[in-house]
Amino acid sequence: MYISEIFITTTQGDVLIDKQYRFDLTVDAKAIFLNKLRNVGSDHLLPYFVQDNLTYCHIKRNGLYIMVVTSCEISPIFLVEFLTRFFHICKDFCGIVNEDAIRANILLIYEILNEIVEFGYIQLATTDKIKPYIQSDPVLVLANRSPAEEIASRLFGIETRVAPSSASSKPVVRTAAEQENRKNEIFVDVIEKMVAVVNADGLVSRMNVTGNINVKSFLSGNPVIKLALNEDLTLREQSHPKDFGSHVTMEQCSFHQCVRKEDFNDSRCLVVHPPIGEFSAMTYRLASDPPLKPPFRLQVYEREQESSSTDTSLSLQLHSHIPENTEAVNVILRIPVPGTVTGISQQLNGPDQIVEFKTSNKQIVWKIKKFPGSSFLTANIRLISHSGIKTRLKDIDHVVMEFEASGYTCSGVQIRYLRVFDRDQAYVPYRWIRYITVSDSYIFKL
Amino acid sequence: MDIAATCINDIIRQLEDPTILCDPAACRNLMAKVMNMIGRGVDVSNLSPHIAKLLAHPDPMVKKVACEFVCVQTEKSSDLMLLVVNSLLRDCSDSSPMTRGLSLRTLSSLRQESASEHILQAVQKGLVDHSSYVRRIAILSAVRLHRLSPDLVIEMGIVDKLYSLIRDSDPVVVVNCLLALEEILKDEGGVVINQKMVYHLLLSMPKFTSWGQAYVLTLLKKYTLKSEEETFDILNILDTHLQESSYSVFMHSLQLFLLYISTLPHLKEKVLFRCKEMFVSGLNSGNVELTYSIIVFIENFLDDSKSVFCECYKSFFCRFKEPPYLKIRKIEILPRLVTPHNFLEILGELRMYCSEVSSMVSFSAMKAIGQISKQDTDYFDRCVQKLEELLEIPEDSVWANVLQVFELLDLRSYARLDNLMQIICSKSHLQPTNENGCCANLFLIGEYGHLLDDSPYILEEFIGNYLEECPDVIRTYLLTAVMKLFLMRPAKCQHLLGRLLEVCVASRNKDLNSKAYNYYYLLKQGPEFAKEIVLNKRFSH
Repeated sequence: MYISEIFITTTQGDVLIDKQYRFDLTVDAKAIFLNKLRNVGSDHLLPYFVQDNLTYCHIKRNGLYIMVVTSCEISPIFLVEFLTRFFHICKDFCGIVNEDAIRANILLIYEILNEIVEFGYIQLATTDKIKPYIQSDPVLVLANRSPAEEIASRLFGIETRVAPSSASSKPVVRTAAEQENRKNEIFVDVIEKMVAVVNADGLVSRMNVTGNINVKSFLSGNPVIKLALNEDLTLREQSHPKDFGSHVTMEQCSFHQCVRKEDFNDSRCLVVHPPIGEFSAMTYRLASDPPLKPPFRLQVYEREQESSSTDTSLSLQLHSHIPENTEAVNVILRIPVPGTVTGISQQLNGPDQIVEFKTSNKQIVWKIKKFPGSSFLTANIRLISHSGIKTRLKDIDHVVMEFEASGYTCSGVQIRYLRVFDRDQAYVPYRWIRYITVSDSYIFKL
Repeated sequence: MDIAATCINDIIRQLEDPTILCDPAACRNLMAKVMNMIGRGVDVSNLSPHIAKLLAHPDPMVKKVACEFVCVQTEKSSDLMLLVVNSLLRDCSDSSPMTRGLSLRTLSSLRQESASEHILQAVQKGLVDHSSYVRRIAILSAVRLHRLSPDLVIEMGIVDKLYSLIRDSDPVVVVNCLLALEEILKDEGGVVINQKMVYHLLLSMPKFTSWGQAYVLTLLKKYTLKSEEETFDILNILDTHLQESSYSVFMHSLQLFLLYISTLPHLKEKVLFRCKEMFVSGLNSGNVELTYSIIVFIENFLDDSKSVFCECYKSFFCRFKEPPYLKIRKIEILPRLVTPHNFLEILGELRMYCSEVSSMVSFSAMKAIGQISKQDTDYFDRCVQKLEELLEIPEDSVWANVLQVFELLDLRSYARLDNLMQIICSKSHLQPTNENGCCANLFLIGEYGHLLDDSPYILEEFIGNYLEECPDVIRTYLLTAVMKLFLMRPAKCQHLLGRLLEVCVASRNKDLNSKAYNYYYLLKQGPEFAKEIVLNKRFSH
């Protein structure tokens, strides 16, 4: 039940960290792993494989492979969960976890590795429990915009007007010196991820929303906080089946162990005793029926052309149904086209947009920097075909959309108030409450 | 001198510089460089004597890294041990528990048998340390010592000491004891778990970390239940752990639960139903590696408790951003979850994956549709029709993949077979560029080509254009196709078959060659006999 080695490598195969716990491996596990990676490619490298009686398990985050090797039979769920935990602890200490951050904090990472696992057995794996044993101070690395996987951090990148963009990449764990001149801030983010398939007629054929209330507390003294959610929020098991209305219905929700659930049942309040580090106080899944109105809709028309031409003219209209005072950013539409298309030309009706044609995977990519709520955008795209075969609209099967809608939750979950119970009342806490809905997989069928 | 050696010499020079040694920040910096080199696999054994001195450094961080260095390097330089033992032993009595723990860990990691007496001394002291941090490390250091000299651990009564520490007040100490005993007593079957201990452990569960819980649950699998009453007692306690926030604890509880009710198989599905929410939230967690592992776990139950998962089939739908390996795994499961109720929805979903950018994903979606078509005659026509629609996509790879799926199906009952064959025989696609696609295409013409008038001409044209450049696999398929067509339409195909057989008999490829001879032989026996063998071979079983 023990693990033998943990190592971190970049996708290029540079080993950044290598920690042996048992010195019992007779083979070079790193070389075997990297070799495997080269052979099958990152798209098809399974998170878990067994080779020569050794089990290799990894998670891939921000261009890094975090890898564990063991000669025991251990379930992949256990290993993956542990690696994920390790990643979050590193994130709590270093702010962000990427190649630069690891290089800059190499000693810190070794310290963490020494405390969370002893002789291959996992010991402590929460940030606050490890904190007392860590000596080194984190070295901050300036983050580029974090990749898509880290939604929580992305949030900070968007709303530069209200919070400094580097806030997310600050470590949660602070040194004593810092503690004194640090602002007393608390960040509460309501993040909803949406999986949806929208039919050509605008009806939703499938929708699935998972939400997460993420808390990151920099309050000194770790006071208890109280979060009040919408009062009209109902849980599926409690609500009457025929009970339609404007309220939010959740299929299921679960809480972090530091949350007192009793208050939630009575008054929809979360009383939280925040631990050190970033954590999700509550996760929930929205009921899939009655379906929500889709926040975006796409209409595609084929425009008439002189019959001799083998080109096809498409008109794309993207409608936003999110409230007027909100906006979606970093919107990307990916339109896969058949191999007969050799080029495109386009005409757009607004600034801050581009349409590109990726020949390598035959995709048209329409990027929109900012897309205000309750408006629409049009793109006219001409598909040029040199092969003499005209592309028909029905050869385009679906369009994938990516977006980040800030200030908006598709479910309507809201935080009515956030109270900080600071016994000494020594400071006025800065409270940042933010909402965001992001696409996990948002597809228009044509 | 190469760069690494220059680097090492540079570090040595700095380590000898008193001003640097007095500056903790500079020292840490230097150590970071060393650790970096170890990670990259550079030989740093020359540094050993210099780093050994740092064990006594006042900065705890520098000391820590020096210890880490010693652990890694101990095998490469045996002199190192002599340099460090005394300093480590001294630190084992330090006033700070952190230092005591650190030095005990380092000392016991010296993998040199001559150190075992020292280690034993330190472990024994550590096991009774008043700091739980040190006790935790001491327990696992006993296992390290056991690896170095097993007899010493057994003789000195450490096993008994560990058993008594199972009652320790620190939950991590308790779990470490169990793990240590399990490993030390491996040859005798590991730690002995009696009834009293089972209850003790189960009731202390909430105190353990989730990793500790997972370890304990794994160890409890060794215990055999004594009575039915006890079974239900224990199941009641376990039940609370089926709704955990940690998936590993959940999974281990479930496994234990199922083990305990293996004599009561009717309960299995009920238990799984109770866990449905956990499965669903795991599948929707957004952590791709976790989702993948949970799917692999779920696959264990698909054979006998499918119905639980048929209900949450939507959780197995793919998301756009998921890596191909995960999508493929999900797609392979979907056909097993089909019920009359969700059939259309799953089919529609799979149809969408068929136009994925990754051709491996789209191919597996097509294969999944093929799988579903075989499950029920009601599904058959709709599935095949969906596949047929795909042929309209002007993409050679899609075409080839769809045909390969068709190759695996018995299409004779398909209502629109004529029409389908018409599309397939649109000659322009029959080219040897895509080998698998071409073989499938030839197979289909052989199998169903008699429905069309012009299929012999298509083959004729193909032979005329490509026979020379064809690889032998394609030729084998071609031969079979022509043979089948000949048996159905002798007049039109005779000359084709004759020409082809001539080429194939002369081939050096064994398969092709023997196939050709085989056909000669069959034809000699008379057309009826050949028909019997060649045409009925496939779907009759």
